[in-house]
Amino acid sequence: MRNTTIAVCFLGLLLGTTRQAQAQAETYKVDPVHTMVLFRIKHLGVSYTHGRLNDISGRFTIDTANPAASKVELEIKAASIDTNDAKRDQHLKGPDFFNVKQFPRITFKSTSMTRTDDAKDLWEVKGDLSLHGVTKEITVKVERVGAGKDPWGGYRSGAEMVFTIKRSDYKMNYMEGAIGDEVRLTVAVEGIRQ
Amino acid sequence: MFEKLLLTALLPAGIAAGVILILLRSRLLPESLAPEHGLGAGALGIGAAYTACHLLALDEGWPGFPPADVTHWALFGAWLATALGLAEVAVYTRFEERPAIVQPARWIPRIALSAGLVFLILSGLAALEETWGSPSLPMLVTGLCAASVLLFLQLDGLASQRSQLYGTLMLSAALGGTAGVVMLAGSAKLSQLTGSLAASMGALFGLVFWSSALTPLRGAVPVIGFVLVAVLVCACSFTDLPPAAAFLLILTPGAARLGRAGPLARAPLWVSVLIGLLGIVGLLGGAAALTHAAAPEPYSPH
Repeated sequence: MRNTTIAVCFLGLLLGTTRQAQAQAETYKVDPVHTMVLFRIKHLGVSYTHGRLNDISGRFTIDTANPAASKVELEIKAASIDTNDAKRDQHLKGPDFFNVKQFPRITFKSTSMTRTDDAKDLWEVKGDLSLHGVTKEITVKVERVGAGKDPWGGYRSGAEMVFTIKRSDYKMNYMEGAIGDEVRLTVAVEGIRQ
Repeated sequence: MFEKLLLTALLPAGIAAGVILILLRSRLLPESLAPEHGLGAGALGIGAAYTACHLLALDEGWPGFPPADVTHWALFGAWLATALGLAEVAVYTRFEERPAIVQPARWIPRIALSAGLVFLILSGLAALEETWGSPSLPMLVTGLCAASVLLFLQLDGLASQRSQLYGTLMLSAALGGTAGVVMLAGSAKLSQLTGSLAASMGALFGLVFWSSALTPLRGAVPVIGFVLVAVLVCACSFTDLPPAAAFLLILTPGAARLGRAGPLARAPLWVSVLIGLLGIVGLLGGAAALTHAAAPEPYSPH
């Protein structure tokens, strides 16, 4: 009887731990309506031109108990670039810059995630950014903004990251001098828990 | 930016003229390459001029081999075309009186290189990945090869004129206008590459004006033709240049020949130039109108 009780308690503890671990690993699908990818780049050395990429999809998994098990996968359609000027957008999509008909997708896949500040929920994410046919590892500091229920019965979580890349690293060298090399990206992601 | 554009115009013109003059003066080329008429020098001069523009004026340096960005196949196509131009000159010089040898020796490599270049450029189109096994890709390559044959026939016609003053001037105008239409389609880079050919033709015009015995355009036809094929296939595939507009651009050298057709062959040069330019401008205008009409609407996810 006593052995049975111990066994049941142990089994209950094991199940409870497993369920807790599973509950802490949450997968979210990117909500494209509430996710923004914004960029800015220097123009003629005198001002910044801003733009955005409108078509983004992906998933991210957050595991607070085991942050190293977290991951992010994002995909952006390069043809969705939007700088509020049709001719400029046409130029950007062409062979001079993104060449979207040869390289239609921009992707990011995380290779490691580390929680660097529990209080402020800051993370460091390393991953492979593929752009214009070139894949390079980048490191991004991510601020997890929050998580909670939405009015439609779902559960959401969001994060924001700001980082800089050089377009020359991705063989997009055209019009050096007239257009800056450094591109600052702001990615604000919101996901719906699956 | 203005300095870049100037570089695109002056660099290829300077290199084309420089290379041809050096080869003419130094007598480095063998007799089979017709050094006294500048045939072989024409191929090397235009090939060198285009190479310099592609590597120096685009800010992209050496593209690597094979190039990740398929638009860079135009550079390697130009190198092969330069070799082809030299081979054509050598065969023509040796077997001038035997067209049964000259014609196949000219057309078989041209068609093969056209097919290869077109295939390599189209292989970069992500949208074609699903069609590799279907008959549509070979049909597309065949159609584009046929268009390149048409282009070469017209270039040969211009290059075979007794005086190349007219041919080089008209080709410079046609290529300059083509550069403008390609710019309108959305690629300043491809426009620069076409513009470099136009500037090189300007240099050839200057050389032929200096010495009417020179016929460098004949040797340069393969380089001009293959670079133009590469640029137009890239423009149709990766920018918003409509195929119909590209077809009109291919016809511009033929329109130039109108100025020397029939009784106009004996007309004063300025009359021929005027008529030829009218024909070129008409076709360029049509291509520009089609390109403008094909410009896409601003992106909207809704």
